[in-house]
Amino acid sequence: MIALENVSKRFANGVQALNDLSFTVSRGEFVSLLGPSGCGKSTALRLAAGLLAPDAGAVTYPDGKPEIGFVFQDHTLMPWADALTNARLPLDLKRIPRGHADARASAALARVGLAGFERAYPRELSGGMKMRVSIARALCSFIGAAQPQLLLLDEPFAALDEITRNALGDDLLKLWREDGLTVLFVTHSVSESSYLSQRVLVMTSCPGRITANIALASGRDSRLSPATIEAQRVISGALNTAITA
Amino acid sequence: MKRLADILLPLAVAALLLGAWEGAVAHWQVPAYVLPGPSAIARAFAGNFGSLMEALASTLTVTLEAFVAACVLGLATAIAFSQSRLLERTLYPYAVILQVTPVVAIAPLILIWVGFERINLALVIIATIVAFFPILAGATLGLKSADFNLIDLTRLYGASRLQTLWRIRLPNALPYLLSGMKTAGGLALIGAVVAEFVAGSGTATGLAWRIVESGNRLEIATLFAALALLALTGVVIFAALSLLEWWLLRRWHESALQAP
Repeated sequence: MIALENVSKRFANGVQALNDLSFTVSRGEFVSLLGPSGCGKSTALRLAAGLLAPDAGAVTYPDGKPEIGFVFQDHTLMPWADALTNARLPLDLKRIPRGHADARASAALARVGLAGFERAYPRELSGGMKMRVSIARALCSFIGAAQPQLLLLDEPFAALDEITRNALGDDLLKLWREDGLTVLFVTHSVSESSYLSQRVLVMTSCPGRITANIALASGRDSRLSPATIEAQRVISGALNTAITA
Repeated sequence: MKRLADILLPLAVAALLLGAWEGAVAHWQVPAYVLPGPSAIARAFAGNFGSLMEALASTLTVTLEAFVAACVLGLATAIAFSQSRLLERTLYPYAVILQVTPVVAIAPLILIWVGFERINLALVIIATIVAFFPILAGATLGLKSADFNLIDLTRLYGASRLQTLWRIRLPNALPYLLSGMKTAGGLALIGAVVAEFVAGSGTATGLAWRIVESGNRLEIATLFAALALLALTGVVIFAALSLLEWWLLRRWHESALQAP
């Protein structure tokens, strides 16, 4: 689906954000990019989306250019528009006829549990609901069924409380399974990555690079099942090794 | 109850002040050509009602035309600036120069260039120059301060610059633009008055000219009546724009959370 090959990125202020970073995500996979704050995870995600160009190396899409949905840490909604109009933004920008776009956006809102909130404005919604609208908007990025569909999430639940975070995590898993999406999920939470993803890429900072690539065993049916706890232990170990190394 | 008090208290203060004014003028027998009492001013207002309304219409026309021109030009310039950093860096200093140069000083030039036979156009141009800058400054800030992540999203979906402008930058600029418009509305009136002063009597026919003329004739009561009308016009313009701001932003902007 997506391959980053020996990618380096230096910012205008001279900070080397990423150095010789390589990883791939296969079609249909749910991969977490885990690391401490400031290790270049977000930069890697922006490179993957094509929002940034690498200084060296290449970002390629072996299965063809995918449709990309992007969810930011902040909900990034338009405060002047209601939930339906916010979710509809990708469809509007691609000039999908209004009636069809409205139907798609309503369906997306219903899928994230916001049926009936189409006319609500962002400031009338809670933090978790705003993030749900943001996810519904990302779902509206996927129009052509033929094209591969890549969902990129940049610490989407970091600003939410644990109860909301868990509920949204479960919803995300459901969407991934139902739609056969490919998900690249940036997080600094070991527990989130251990439960949600099939594979975890551990990153370290200064400059950002990948130090471990951990395929997680199956059987992680809940956050507390033994396989999930075991996965947390493995991921934490890899993270500690990476930080202290 | 609280809103009623908001209206009644200022009115009570006004009644008190006007009463004191009337009493003081009567008690010390102040000559009417120095300071007429409120009742004399009211009589002057009633006596000159027709001509004062004509003058008001003249000033108001110049003010509104200048305000609309400043809105259109200011927003258009701001949009051009938001599309081209080079253009902004090249031209913004000149906009600032236009703003900081006292308009009284350039008004005679404009009058000469436009010509006294087209006096109204000259007045509108002068008032537009005064009202232009807050619109430009507000709209420029608003267009530039759109959420970078939202702009990135539009790039991700392959949006054209026009789409980004229309869907993200312009709505984001609206509160800033409206704030600039509130300032510009008052400035357009000031600009119209200053322009009339500079144009002088005989050519201009607005309220400012009535003030100059009444002053020359020592008809101070009429002068006060014109002055009051001018102040009232300024208040109405500000209130109308505040109402427009509240109505446009009431659903989403923090500033409009409470009714005006």
